[in-house]
Amino acid sequence: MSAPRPSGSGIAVLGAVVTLGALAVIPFNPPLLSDWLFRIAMLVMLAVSWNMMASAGMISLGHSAFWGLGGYCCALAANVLGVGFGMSFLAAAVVGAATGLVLALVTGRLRGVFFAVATLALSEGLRIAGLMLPDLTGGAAGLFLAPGARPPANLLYEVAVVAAALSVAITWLLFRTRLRFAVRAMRENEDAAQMLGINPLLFRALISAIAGAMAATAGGFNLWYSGYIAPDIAFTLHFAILAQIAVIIGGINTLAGPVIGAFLIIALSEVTRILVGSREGYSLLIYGVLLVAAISFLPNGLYGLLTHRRMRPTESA
Amino acid sequence: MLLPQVLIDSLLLSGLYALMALGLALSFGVTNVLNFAHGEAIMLGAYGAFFMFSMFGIDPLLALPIVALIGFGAGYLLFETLLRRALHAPQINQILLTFGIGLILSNGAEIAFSPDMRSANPAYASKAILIGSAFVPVGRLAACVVAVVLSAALLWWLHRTEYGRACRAVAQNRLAATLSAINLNNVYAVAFGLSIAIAAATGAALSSVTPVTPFMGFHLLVKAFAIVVLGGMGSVGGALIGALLLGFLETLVAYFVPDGIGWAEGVAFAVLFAVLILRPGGVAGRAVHQ
Amino acid sequence: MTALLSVERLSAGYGELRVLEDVSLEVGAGEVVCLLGANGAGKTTTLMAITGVIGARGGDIVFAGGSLAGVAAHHRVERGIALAPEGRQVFQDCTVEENLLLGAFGRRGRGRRRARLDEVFDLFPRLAERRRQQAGLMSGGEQQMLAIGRALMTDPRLLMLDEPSLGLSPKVALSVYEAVARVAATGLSILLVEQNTQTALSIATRGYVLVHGRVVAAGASAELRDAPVLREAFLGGGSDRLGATPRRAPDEVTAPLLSIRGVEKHFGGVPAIQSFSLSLHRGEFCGLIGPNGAGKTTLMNLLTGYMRPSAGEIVFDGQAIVGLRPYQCCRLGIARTFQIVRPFPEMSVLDNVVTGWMFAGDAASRRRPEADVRAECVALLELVGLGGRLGSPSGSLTLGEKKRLELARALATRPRLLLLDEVLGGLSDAEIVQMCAVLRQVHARGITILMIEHVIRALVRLVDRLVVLNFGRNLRDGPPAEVLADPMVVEAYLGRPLAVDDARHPMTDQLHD
Repeated sequence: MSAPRPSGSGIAVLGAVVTLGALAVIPFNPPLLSDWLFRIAMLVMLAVSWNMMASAGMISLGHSAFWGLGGYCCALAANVLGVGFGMSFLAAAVVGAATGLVLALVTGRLRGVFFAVATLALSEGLRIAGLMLPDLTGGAAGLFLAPGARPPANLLYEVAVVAAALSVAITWLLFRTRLRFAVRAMRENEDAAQMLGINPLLFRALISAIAGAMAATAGGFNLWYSGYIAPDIAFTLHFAILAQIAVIIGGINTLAGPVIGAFLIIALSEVTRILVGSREGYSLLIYGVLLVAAISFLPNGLYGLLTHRRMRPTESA
Repeated sequence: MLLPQVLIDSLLLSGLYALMALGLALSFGVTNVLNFAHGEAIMLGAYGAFFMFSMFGIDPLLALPIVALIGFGAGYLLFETLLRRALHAPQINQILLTFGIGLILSNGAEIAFSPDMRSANPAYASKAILIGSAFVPVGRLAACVVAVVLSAALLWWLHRTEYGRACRAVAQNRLAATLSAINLNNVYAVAFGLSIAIAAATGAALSSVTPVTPFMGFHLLVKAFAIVVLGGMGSVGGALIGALLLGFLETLVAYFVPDGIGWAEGVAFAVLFAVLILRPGGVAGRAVHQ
Repeated sequence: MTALLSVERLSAGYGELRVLEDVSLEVGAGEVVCLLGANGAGKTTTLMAITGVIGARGGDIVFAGGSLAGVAAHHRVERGIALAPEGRQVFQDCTVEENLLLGAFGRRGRGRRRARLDEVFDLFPRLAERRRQQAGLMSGGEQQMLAIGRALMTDPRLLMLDEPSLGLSPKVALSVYEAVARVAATGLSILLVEQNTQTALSIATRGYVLVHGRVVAAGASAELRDAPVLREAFLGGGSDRLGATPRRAPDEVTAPLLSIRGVEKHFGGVPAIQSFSLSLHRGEFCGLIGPNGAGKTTLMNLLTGYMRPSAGEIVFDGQAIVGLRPYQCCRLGIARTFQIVRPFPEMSVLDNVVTGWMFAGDAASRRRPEADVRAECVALLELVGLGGRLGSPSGSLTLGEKKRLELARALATRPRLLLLDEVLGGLSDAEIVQMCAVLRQVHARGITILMIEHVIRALVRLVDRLVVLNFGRNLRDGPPAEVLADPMVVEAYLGRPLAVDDARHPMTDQLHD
């Protein structure tokens, strides 16, 4: 993403092959594999979204806000309005984008830690609102999708893979425009960027809206997958944390980083599941260790290691 | 008339909130690194007190000094091993690093202690005394008194001892502190260790008042943030004001809003969001824009 | 006599910025020595290197017979080196007494601190009156006394003072200097950095003159006082390599391009810019000079939307620009460079400039095909002499290259008015020559330039007009030669010896503490 010209016919071809391969394999109902592919796809969407915001200097610790809102949107659209599987994502994306837009405009002046804390508060605030507004959300008991509304599993998987590929493609296209100059300039020195005619608020709002739509869509997939949503599931930080770690391990501010990271995280989660069973604590513990280790020893992520990118010079705080 | 009860409840709450936020404000003020694992330190302090109570029958408030001492050592070590190298790193690294440490601690606790709710229940914890028409639960009163005493002790230390003054000096002006023969690296590590000690003490005081769970830290962290932000980042006096404000607001919401007890949990987030947007300097008005 | 402090061939700087080259100086026991020089000459850097707050790149500092190499800053205080830093740097939220006691935090100062506290209160009775006062709420003069008092609390063998009279009224400055004289009389060695050279030379026995990070003259105060080298150090002189500007006549017929009328800017009640007015015609090349803290960079921030004036109006090409954001100012055609360079360090040199092009100017020029834009930007980089570094990450450039990059990036926004903030600062002589040549070409393209600069000897050969800012006011405006010959300007830079009747001087009446 930050390469001056998105290098990458090689990566594009690889991405297309992986996507098409996944689409071709799913109809054969491979045990486990479809499930993995689906979870990777969801994580890719969320990680790409998180990375996009981070690349514009917005460190979100509450990405579950978008994710959870997306889930509730799809559930309400399906249950209340009778909207189908496909159209429900539109609702999720619109609400996600609106939330992202509002977040960027409202936090306009906040940077760094303050933005991070604000996102954390947003996510927790929404969780409590979800618990306290049972008429809308079903409260702590949660919402079940109406029986029969869920699409065939394979269709869901295929759509998820396409959506993940799309999220990467959208990012790639977006960062072929002059947006990539604005985003990097803002990240590297916002004062200087302004003096070049860049309106930081505008670009932050744009990035935040697009990233919000992507994360909300990913949350929608989670809903259609499980058929159930409740505040503690929707606004748990679990999946948002996975997305952050995927980006950090894969390589922040790069196009391929989040994708590489998502594959690794899902692979790792399978390994830990086999080794220590399905207790969530172990996998999150390992992710925590990975995050701390990656920050301390691998600031450019694996993608950076692979491409021998030079170390980030330390920015003054 | 509910008012005396509201007042007492909010004061009891504020005392604990103040201690919780003071620890966070101390490390942020001195090192300039916002510690996203502060809540987990509180959680571990609470478990420490709980286990001392359940295994050896030590009263949580007596266990508090032990827990705090261990907290200081652990905090000092954590700073020297992981955080010192991030002092001058980009902010994103600091955020994700402390966040990752919190993740390790909370999930490590879940594995080690199980996700069950625990609570240290000394005999007095469930008693209450009646003052006028208002109930004062003895357990919460004791916890609050301890918290107030500790907060006062911290303030005394910061203002009346040489090393405490040195901590304030570093928070205010690093160049001038160096020119006053203060070793910044020492002060950073001591202040961070002390901040973790205070967090552990907060946990010990909380252990007989609220359920102890591996993930209790996160919610406390956001509340502590809200208080610190409300009081002006890094300002110790502001944190006290913030704690009082949050305590009152939460109690008011709990009493006077329908379903208030549930909504009260959201007050911190609403306050946090509102203050960050309206007054990034906090109500104590210290400019923090970097 | 062996020197107490002996600085030997010291080189030092910040990041890639080399400030000091081969600086050598000595302070004997009981001696008062002053260090003189224009802004950016390296005076503060010298003091910072002696305290150890910044590291030395080369050379050695020997104090009381021992080398300070590898000795941490806080340990140097224990050896007896104290500094009252520029800008006072008191602990704002601490009381006066706490500030002083913090000075005695180290082992050295701790022993006799109660007695020393009394000595400091004796020296500055004002501080005794205010011992419970919060330091941040005191006046500048009181804060200066506090900073000196705090330095004395460390029980120093060498007291260094950095600009103790900066921003003080002559009356207050005088009382500060009376105290310094009393301290000197006790036999304490003092190294003094002072803007007001006449005052400094009247109190010091010897002095050193720094120009551009090098010691150019040293000698007894009486010799230095009237030495031409001193005036040149501040207001430039000599050097013929810079060449003269082929003047391009400014357009004085049409309305001015930039018109500033009665602009004021206060920071918490303290005025930084006061009723400032200035008109720039199209095609003018105007220099803006003034001593440290005169408000030059503040003015630049007001012109580009980074700050909003407290009062007054700014009109650019017929449009009022007060209240516009920086990006809007840029789109109108105002470009600026920053005093501290701000390239986008991870971007390539070319991408830095392309970024400058992409978001400025009218929509049509922004939407030109990227290949065209790149070609334009390459041409700009060739103009500034960076044609060979297109692909380098800009973080890897030298300071001189970064300054030229920033100029190219500013030009890429297609400005009509170019604001340059110390674009020559920190450059070597050869780089200054190169940059001046580039600036002439830029001006020859019809771009109006307002240039803040401390390297006056280069500036006077570039500009048609010189404006002197002092204490936020427009002190003098005219052709460079006339302006520099004006005694008022000389005084603004070199200061006058402090004497009691100064307190009634019409110009200095406006000063505050």
